[in-house]
Amino acid sequence: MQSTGTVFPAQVRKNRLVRMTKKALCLTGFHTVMVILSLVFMFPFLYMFFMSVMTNTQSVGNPEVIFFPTEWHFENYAAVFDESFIRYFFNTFLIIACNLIFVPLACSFVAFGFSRCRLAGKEALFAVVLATLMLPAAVTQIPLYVIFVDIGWINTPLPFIVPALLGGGSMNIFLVRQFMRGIPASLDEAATIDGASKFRVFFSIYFPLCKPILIFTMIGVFNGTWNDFMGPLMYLRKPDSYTLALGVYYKFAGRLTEENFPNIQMATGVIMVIPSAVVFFIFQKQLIEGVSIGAVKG
Amino acid sequence: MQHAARKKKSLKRFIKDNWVGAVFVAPVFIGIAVFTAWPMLQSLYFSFFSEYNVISPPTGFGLLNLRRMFVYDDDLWQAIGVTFTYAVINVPLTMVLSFMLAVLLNRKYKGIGVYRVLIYLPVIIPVTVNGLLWRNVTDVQYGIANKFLTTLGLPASNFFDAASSCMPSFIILGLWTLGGGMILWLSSLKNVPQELYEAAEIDGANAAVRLFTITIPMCTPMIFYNLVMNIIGALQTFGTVYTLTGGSPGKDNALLFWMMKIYNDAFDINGATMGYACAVSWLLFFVIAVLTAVVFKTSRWVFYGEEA
Repeated sequence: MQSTGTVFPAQVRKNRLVRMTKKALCLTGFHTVMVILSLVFMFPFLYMFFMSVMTNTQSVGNPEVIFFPTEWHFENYAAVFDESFIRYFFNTFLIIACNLIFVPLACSFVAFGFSRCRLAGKEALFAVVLATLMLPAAVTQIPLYVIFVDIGWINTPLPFIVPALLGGGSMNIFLVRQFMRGIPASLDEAATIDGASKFRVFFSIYFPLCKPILIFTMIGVFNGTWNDFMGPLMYLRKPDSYTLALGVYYKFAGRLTEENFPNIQMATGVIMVIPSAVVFFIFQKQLIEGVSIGAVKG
Repeated sequence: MQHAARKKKSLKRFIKDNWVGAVFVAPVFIGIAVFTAWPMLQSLYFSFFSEYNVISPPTGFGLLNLRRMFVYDDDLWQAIGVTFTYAVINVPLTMVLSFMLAVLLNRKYKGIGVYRVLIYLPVIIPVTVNGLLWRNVTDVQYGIANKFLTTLGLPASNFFDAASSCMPSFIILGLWTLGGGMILWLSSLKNVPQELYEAAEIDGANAAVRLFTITIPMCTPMIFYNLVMNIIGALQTFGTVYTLTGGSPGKDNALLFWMMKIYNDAFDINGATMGYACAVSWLLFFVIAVLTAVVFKTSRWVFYGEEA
């Protein structure tokens, strides 16, 4: 009894030591791998930032290709904001502002019809809305170009605003409808008994309650518009009307040469990433939750 | 008489019951009619005209476009080949790698959220910036990529200056956006009931067995969703490649994607053929529809939870 009593704790201590070393080694290994991976994934940002502060000569690899700048020229950032950049920025801003206002209104309005109103053939109608999600953009984009030429919308922001007004996008309708279904129906029943019309019920009860999901749709609207390249490429054909994504593309379409100012290019890149990054960091939680709602539709 | 009256009354009643709902959903159907259905009909109509450049009315009605597609437009088949090569390699590759990242990061260590954010971040880079950035990185002469490769003692690459390295380079650069898939996987991994793992551990199942018998089967709905979305997305690749190559289809058309072919035909400065572009986009639509249907039809492996 006594002998085992003395051996046992020592054994336990030894085992625990082995286990702890093993765990620590495992953890160190894991973190080493993750730090390396993170650095690899951060490479685009580091590259952009470092190149953005180089001199033009350094940025084209003269006298040699370098990753870290030897001098820090933050004045490069001032060169980003030339007349054309500011013009493109305002064009983009106008589109984003209109969409941020109208899309949440439009999609929750329609979603309310699908989730809280009597409507014959509702499920079939909703299936039609969802089916448009599967359509490849290519089949509509070219004829839309023709239509926009006919009605004089080319080189105006209208192609990016008006369609969004009408329904605010099938995916957004779907998301808001899902959300509305989770709101207890007793709420609007009480209001209806009090004599409020469906429209009042929507505007005074449902629209405000949908705030969390509407924030998610607004993040999507912002990112979608800020990044959109193909739409502007097709419908905006005069420099005056370019959005930032398109304008910056044309401005720097060329090789890594001094005439193309790679350092200013990368400074522009950093400036364009900042709004996306700010939105991401502020709304990280909503973004991740919203992504899973969208994906689990089955 | 009475019957007609009742009918009229029921119609009135039908309107009375439904008009509010109809008003609410009307905007989206106006939108679909004007910006989806009508353009699609137009596209179908244009696709029968071999000569149409928007400026003058379409001419050359007939099946000439079909002939051009299947008989003498070699570029189209190049584009279809490129697009399928990309889809076949890229879809499984990105799905597997982003899944591995998610499994790796699906732990409760302190500070793990930082890794997740850092790995996700490249996804937020706007496509234009993405193009500029990687075009500079992969410049054969002065880019940093070749500098890294040679410093590590590896051979320098021709990247987008040689047909053979175009596609591999494009696919590898795409891996920086694995974080997008990763957060989807993470959200589905979180929904796997913890007690399944506990039960398996009691039964003595090791990590690999748990991965293949619990994690992967429980994630099949997400695998299915990702598969469908990624195939549809891969077949419509456009912006990422267009911004990267500056609108060029790459050396020897090695990066002539299907959508780029459509765009180039529609907006060719030396004679736009909108009608043909429409016909080709219908072919793309058809292929996407068939592939999606096949994936749905063969989706018996998807596990949607225990049937009650």
